[in-house]
Amino acid sequence: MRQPADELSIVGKSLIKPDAFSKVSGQTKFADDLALPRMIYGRILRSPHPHARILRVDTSRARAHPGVLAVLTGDDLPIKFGILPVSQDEEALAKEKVRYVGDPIAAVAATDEWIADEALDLIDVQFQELPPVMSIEQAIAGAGEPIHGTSNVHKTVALEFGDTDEALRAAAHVREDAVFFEGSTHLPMEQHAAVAQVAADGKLTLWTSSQTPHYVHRALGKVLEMPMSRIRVIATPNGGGFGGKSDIFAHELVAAKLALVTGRPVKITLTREEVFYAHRGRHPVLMKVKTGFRKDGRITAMQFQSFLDGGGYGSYGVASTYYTGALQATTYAIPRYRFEAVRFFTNKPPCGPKRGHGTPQPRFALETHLDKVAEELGIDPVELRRRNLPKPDSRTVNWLRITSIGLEECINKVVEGSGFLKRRTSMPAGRGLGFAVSCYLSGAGTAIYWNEMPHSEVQLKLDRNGGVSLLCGAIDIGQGSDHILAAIVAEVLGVSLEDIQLTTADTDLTPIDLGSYSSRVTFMAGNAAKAAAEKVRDRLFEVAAKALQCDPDELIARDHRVVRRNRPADGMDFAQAVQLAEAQDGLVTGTGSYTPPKLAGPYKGSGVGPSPAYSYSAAVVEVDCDSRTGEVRVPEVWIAHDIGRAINPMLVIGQVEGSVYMALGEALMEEQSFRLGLHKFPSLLEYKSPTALETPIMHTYLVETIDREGPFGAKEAGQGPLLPVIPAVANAIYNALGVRIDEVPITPDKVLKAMNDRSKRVGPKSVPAFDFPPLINADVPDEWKGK
Amino acid sequence: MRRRVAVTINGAKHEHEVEPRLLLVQYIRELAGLTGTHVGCDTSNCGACTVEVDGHSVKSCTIFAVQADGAEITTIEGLAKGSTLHPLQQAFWDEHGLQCGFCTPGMIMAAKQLLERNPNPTEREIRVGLEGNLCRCTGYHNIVKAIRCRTQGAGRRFLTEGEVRWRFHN
Amino acid sequence: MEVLLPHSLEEALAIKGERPEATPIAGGTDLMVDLNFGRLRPAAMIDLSRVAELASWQQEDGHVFLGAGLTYATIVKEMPEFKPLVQASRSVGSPQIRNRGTVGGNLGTASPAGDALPVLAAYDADVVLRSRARGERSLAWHAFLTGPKKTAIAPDELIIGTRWRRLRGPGSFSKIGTRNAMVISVAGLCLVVDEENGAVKVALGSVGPTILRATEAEQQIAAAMTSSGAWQDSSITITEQVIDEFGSLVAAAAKPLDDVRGTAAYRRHGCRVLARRALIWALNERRLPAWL
Repeated sequence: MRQPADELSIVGKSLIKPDAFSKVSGQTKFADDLALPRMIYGRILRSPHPHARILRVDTSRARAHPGVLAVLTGDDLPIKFGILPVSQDEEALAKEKVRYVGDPIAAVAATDEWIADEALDLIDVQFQELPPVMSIEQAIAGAGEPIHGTSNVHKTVALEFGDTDEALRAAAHVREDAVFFEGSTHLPMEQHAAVAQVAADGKLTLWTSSQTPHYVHRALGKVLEMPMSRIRVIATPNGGGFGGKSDIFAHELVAAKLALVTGRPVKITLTREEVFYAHRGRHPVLMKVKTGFRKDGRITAMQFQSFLDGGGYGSYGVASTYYTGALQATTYAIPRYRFEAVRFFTNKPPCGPKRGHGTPQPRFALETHLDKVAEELGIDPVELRRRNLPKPDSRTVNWLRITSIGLEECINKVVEGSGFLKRRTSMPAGRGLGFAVSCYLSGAGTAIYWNEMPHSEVQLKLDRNGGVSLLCGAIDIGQGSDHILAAIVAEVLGVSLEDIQLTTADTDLTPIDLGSYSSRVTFMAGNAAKAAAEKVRDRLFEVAAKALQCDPDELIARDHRVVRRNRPADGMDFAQAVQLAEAQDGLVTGTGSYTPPKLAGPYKGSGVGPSPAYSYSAAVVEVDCDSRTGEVRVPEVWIAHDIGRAINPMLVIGQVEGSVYMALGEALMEEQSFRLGLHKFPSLLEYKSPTALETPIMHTYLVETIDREGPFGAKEAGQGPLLPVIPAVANAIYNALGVRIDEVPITPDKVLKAMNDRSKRVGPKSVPAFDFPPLINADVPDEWKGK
Repeated sequence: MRRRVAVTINGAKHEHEVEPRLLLVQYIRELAGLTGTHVGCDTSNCGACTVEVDGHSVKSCTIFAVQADGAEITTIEGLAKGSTLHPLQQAFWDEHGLQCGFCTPGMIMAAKQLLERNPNPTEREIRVGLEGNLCRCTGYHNIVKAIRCRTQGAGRRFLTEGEVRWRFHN
Repeated sequence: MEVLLPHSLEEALAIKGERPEATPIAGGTDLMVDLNFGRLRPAAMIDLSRVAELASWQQEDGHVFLGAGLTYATIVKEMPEFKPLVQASRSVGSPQIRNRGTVGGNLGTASPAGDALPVLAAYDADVVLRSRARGERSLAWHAFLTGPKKTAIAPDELIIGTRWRRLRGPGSFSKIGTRNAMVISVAGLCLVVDEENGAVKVALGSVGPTILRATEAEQQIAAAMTSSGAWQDSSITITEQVIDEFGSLVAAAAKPLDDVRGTAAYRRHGCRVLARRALIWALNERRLPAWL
């Protein structure tokens, strides 16, 4: 049942977020704000070496230090874990070997943090240093001891959909580019923190600033060897996540273990430096893209190669690797596609999912590549994209099912809004305009651990006075998921937002939601909430219809009333309907679940990339460059996003603007880079993110396509709008100065170097030689056969 | 070698024996129990710990508690009068000037000083006034808007009274 | 650790005399970072923020005295006629930091990236030191700043302030960095014109072990202005060639290193750009003498 917007009373309105009251007044309790009676403090000793064997850990002096209550080493937590079932390669405290500066080795619990810090200094560790592997090139060279096992290669992918070599040979125009995207980190303003408490009966509770309490719950069970029913995980409001709190972290396991050992509540709050080591951020990726075109600019085939610098552990890396090749064909109709990728272990903090997970890097490669091709073909860069757009309700050559697609409308909005076509050719000196488009998932179509169960579940309980209790495992990380769940339920039941009482992200109380990652909450938990609400609404309609002597189909729920659609005077209060139902069959509850459709294609590795629906974005960025210093400022950005339906436009625009901001940081200044095995700048003093002064005027356009799979037609907003901005910056700099910076971040020294170089370019010359495994020749969907 | 510190926070007197190395932000959070003032870094960059000390906005991680002895301190918890929010708090709420809310208390404290020193700032002046406060969620756009709307005396109201009473995560 | 809280200069000097190992702290901008990172573990600190005598500035006999405890916020508010100093003060940290941070702190830390230091160097300022036992002495800025984070201060002395002869002429402070706010600059430059003595002074920050003066460039531009008669007649144009040469000489005076914030080559280039710009601004301002 699709409702037009004018029949909706809450969905589609820019209502303000109710949780903001406690946030503006300083009352919200983040994890580090929690204080429990008799609470003690944990601190973690971390490796000072990027790669070393641990020969001996002597904790005796630390144990003897007054105020110290417990000291843990790797022997106390020997069971390995990892977020993905295929990468169970982490230890809460390293036993034999450290793999990056910051790798945890030992932990202390003491009566205050100062004592705990002093005790860390008293732990003697003997290392045997090993040569570190600090780059993709070094990982390929393979000198020295491998970081894990027998090779530094963590994961390889080699897939082909149709014969790309043949299609490239037949193409009228072929271009190849190599680009590099440096890593960056999430930098949530809240440093990770966890508090663990053990009750008298031995039951463990962990409060943690986590985007994925369900996965933390599973890992605690495994590592502590406790039944999950004896563990309760409560996610506290996240002070920013962006993917950085979606892994299982050593401090969570250590806090729990310290609480079990000491019998006292234990808090561990990471310092900002430790947050840089916790990382799981953007992978540095070296890429090569080769594309064939017909004379008219239509793509005939693409070959894409990615080399990921993964850091010391697996984390989400296997998924990240696939994502670097997954979404090329969702924005462009590519008839033949080859994707080869390799992820290496290196001696750096592990990389993982940061906003856009594995797709901003290839998007940068693809969108700058297409701009160069457009120039060579003499086709306008916007027109080149238009000629290659995929169709709605179609399937890509790598088997991704597209439902709604509002990309063309997005393009029109930003191109018109910015005056791109006209202004681009007549910009004043140093000024330039750049354009790019992108696509992202509304939730991953497959769960992190293989299972047939729903990805999101919601439980509702109706009170006799008309109040609604909503329980869901989803955690609000600032994106506004609490509001979205409440808005969907309030809409279906015809009640107000204030009638909804939310309990979220508490494994004892709330049903499963897999977590706030992969832009899945509005879509999946939203669908589950809608299903639950419709179930209880139908039950109310049944009893109300009997009382009103009409057909249940005639009833609607609006303004706290259940009334007949055509005779609104004929009805009853919502609370009255609840009471009738409760009198008849007892407590009124309802559950809703969402399981994404089975969308994976018929080949190995098809599990990463499918999503029930894809969002689309287009951006125009204006730059103002100083040709003498190479400094680049961004005065204005135009961004359009196909949101499906905006359940709350104000929140959606907030997500879009935040994405643009974060993209500009990555494009121009942020980098997680290393020198001599050490993080170059593990502090906010040197890791620069944009302030209010560097953030531009933003023009945001929402495009609604009312997707058939999303709740009320909604798709995602939290990640997709980041993607087009980074390549649009690079394209704008080319428009302004005539130089190509094929390397992110685009810092002033690179701009200057390109201007002074004959090639007018800075970037990798090519990718290194690497023996990818033999290609798996996957079948192509019928619609692409013979094309 | 502990030392006695007496300060007034949001009008209430606090007195404690503290270690000299205790930072003012730790005093406010741990001894006074006011956790609305946050710690986001240890290099005085993020601004999440911004409070007012004797009328000047300062980053409370750059002062030892003992240095504030005798001072009048205002934190985010001191702005609202009962359930009536300070106009800036209301403006941040109305204009969606926050997402995760972690930087918000420091941001509002910085904005408060900015408006006290310059009641009618230009957009540029607002942005300069916020240069010591980092936000990772909003892109600053709605934060600037909230401060502007505050200066223009125009708030946008979408909530019913009942909704105002409704709070998550208390 | 102990924190000592003197209420007067006399008390502060007495403490410093008795406890020469105690580290003075004012705004805490630099020290708190070092303390948090454990790079600094002093047995005692002397908080100078409540010593009122240090928090003032005066002018007499054509000289300016700036108290070590004057905050950047106060400089911005009270000293608008000292444009380069105000520009440098504005670029320090953020409003909260400017409310606490002091020029005395910049001098005490003696980081080559201290924003106020190139201005003091261009002003040819003296640093005024005092101890209880030996009284007051003044050191030229270059005699005071002896190396990266090294000064000539004696253990029982405190920085009282800085003094310079007031100059008549335009000037500016500017810097380069990837972000506007809260940056440790990649390169900073102060240029001031001394009309009375027919001199141009250029000081560089962040591009050497300590603050540097570009003396060859200073001599070159002063001579070029003398030979062209530009000192007497500000409407006389200084040629592009002279300006380029000036930029090159300033760049040559830099002694930058590669570090996490930037490459040596980029920093040297930055000095050239900043120098050219500062000179052009100054020459334009001489034609429209706003400083009168």
